[in-house]
Amino acid sequence: MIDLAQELKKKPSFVPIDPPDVDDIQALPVAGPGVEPTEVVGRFLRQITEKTRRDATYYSKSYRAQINLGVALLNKGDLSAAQEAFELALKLEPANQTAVLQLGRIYLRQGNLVKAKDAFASLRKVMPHSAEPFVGLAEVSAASGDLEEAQHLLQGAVDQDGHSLAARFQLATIFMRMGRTNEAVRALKAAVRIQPRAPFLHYALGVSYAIRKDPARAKRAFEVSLRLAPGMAQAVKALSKVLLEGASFQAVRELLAEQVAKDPHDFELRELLAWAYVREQNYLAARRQLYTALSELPASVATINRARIANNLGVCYEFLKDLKHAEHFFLLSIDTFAEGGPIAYQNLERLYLQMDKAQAAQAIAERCLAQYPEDRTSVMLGAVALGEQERYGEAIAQCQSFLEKADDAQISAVLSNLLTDAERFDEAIQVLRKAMRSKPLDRALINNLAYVYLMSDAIAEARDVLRQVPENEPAGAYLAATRGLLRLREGDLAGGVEGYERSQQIALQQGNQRLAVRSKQKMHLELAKAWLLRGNVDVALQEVRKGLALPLKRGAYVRDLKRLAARLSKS
Amino acid sequence: MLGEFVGQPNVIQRVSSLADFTEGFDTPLNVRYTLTFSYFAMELAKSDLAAAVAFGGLDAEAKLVFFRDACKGLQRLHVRQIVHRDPKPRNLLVMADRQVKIADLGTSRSLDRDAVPLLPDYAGFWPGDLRYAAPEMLAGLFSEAPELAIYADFFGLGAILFELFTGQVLTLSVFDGSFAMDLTSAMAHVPPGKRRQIYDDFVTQLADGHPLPNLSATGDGAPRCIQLRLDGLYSELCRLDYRKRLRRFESLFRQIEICLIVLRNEEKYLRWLKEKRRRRATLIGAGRVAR
Repeated sequence: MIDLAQELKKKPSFVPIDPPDVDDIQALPVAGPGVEPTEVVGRFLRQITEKTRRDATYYSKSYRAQINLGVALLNKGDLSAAQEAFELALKLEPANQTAVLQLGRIYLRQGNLVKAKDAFASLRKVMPHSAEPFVGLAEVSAASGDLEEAQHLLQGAVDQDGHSLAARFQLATIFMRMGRTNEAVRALKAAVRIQPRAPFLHYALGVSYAIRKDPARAKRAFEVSLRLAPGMAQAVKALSKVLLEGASFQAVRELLAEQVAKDPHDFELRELLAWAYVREQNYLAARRQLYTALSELPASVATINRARIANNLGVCYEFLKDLKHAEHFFLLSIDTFAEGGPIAYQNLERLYLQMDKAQAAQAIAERCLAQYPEDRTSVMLGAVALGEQERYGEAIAQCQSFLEKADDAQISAVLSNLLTDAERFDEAIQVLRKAMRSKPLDRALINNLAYVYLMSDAIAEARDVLRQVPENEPAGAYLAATRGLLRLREGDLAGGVEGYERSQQIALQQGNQRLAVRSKQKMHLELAKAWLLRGNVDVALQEVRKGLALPLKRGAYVRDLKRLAARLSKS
Repeated sequence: MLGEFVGQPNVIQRVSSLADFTEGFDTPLNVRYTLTFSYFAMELAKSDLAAAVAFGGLDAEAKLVFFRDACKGLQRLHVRQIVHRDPKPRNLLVMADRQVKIADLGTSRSLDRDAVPLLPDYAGFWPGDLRYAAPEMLAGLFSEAPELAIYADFFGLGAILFELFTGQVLTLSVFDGSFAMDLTSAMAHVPPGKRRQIYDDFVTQLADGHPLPNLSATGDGAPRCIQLRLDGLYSELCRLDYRKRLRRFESLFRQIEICLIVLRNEEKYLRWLKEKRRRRATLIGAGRVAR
């Protein structure tokens, strides 16, 4: 019988970092990247703004002075004050194109698409040969979700002014959003021809190659952007992601170690470095990076990032066998951002099952299902947790209600397990037969069905079912055990023992010691039943004792062994 | 310092010698204090270039002539190994005879090894207006390599030329938040004595990452016949990498003169240009036939 409790208890999952994406490309650096200024930079921008403001006050009737003030305020990030300055400039010089263009950009950043569209449309009338109004209108269309229109407008901008970097760059990002990466690459290559030494263009080209699943070219483009701008953190991160996909862990570590030294507070760099360590199975080093990233995370960082790092830290702890800390960080991840995805919940459920805390596992599964009712893993883990508490009725009902909505081979397998443990063999057979209609060759279903037949003493049917798996096909631990059980039920005790020992061997080869022990426990249980059938109570009792002496103290096998022990001691 | 430029055009003149006056102040406790102030008088200017830029009204030729005057004034300073360190439209005064004179030498310094600058720096900052400062000065090289202020003066001239023709302060378009972030992150924690070396290694990437705006595509712009020339001239003066920056007055004056000639003979120039293009097209066509 496939023991899904064991399957599900196996590995915790990391929440991965997103691969390079079009959202990583924000805007042309010349149009202001919206960076969070440091204190020194803030002071510098303030001083420049103050000087410009003094000029604007002195020449209060000059639209040029007001425009300069507006640009300075924009650089400082003060959108509303900049808007006032440009509006004043427009009052002084109603036809001023720069003021209209800047106002259009401000409206766009403020999300006021109607006003932005009006501004760019009026500009297009007075600047029919300039690309700028087309680019602005395209950005408005893109912001309102009309990518086709945006692409059409940008194509117009490129036709108007083939040297407009902004037009080609925006066109490339629109193509990327439309999933037309080949055209995005073409547009970016044209932009690179206009400005060959602009690092952000090579970076964008790298992102489009990465989206196109062309890691070799993506790597080359990111490397060029890094040669042009060695400190470009975005390019370092994107290159690291590409290298990680290509399993070049040492290169990633070297690249990131240097960057982390430069900017020790960048949590994304540390996360990527941790990934490189994880892929090398150096969980200790990965844990160190993630711990530092989490403890130094500024309050402004989105909670989803905090939750992701906490979960991944928990996984590292679990791999390092420090289950207490693993539990702490999985809980932290869930409490930080409950809507951060089901992975942290599933990890904690698995951890609790591993720690034999079935009740806690069930509670977490319930919390997860309240957030994600369709999460089949939590349905399974929750049912397994209920089964471990011998609350078979609730566990079976949970699986059945999920199966009413959709067919699912794994849930069916779990349900058949639970029904078998509850000794409701006929229902288990029905469930498995139904599941096998859509997946007739599913090895887990075949194995489970054969097992249920054997448990309900339908040996011939079990044999027929098992014949569907060719003898020469490499068997897993579960199938070997079921074949052993068949031999036992056929009266071949030596053959049965051989089957079970084969199963234990496979489990140990796979590093699943717990499964090997369970297989052994089942072997003793079945041998005890076989000896009892032959009337040899003493040997049966010996087998029961051997089974109960094994380190597994919970579950259906222990329950059956105890029942048998009670029966034998009475007799 | 002004004493060195007596009688020279394009540099503001002092019209009186240094004199003192004393003024008494009474306090509530009937104690009288006297304070002595030093002063001198300067010649009276009609306006400055900042006002001319702010309100426009200058034609392209006048802008170029004013700019040439400003360059001449700065050249006179440089000949005497004096750097101005704060050239900007406000410090370029327009006299009644429409001559432009460079003024406000409070921030200037002599590059003679023994000379002590009046303002070596200003609480760790560049003494001049940050909006017209060259990036190498923003990077703090002014105390470590004072001679680089010559290059910075040329950058200031380029910024003035840009502003004269566009009405916009150049550095507001270039020195934005990302520029300042890049510069400060590269130069942060660099020990004294190493700044120039680090900056020299970094400046190429700074220039690559922050391209200069196109003069013809910004603000008021310039007449079409001199657009490309002016774009080239200002770009050469404002190169972010000081090692590649134009810093020869002869070349600068030659280019200004060419622009002036083109402007004054715009129609003839455009006819000549058209003819040149026609001939080239004919030659290319002939080549095709011959092939």
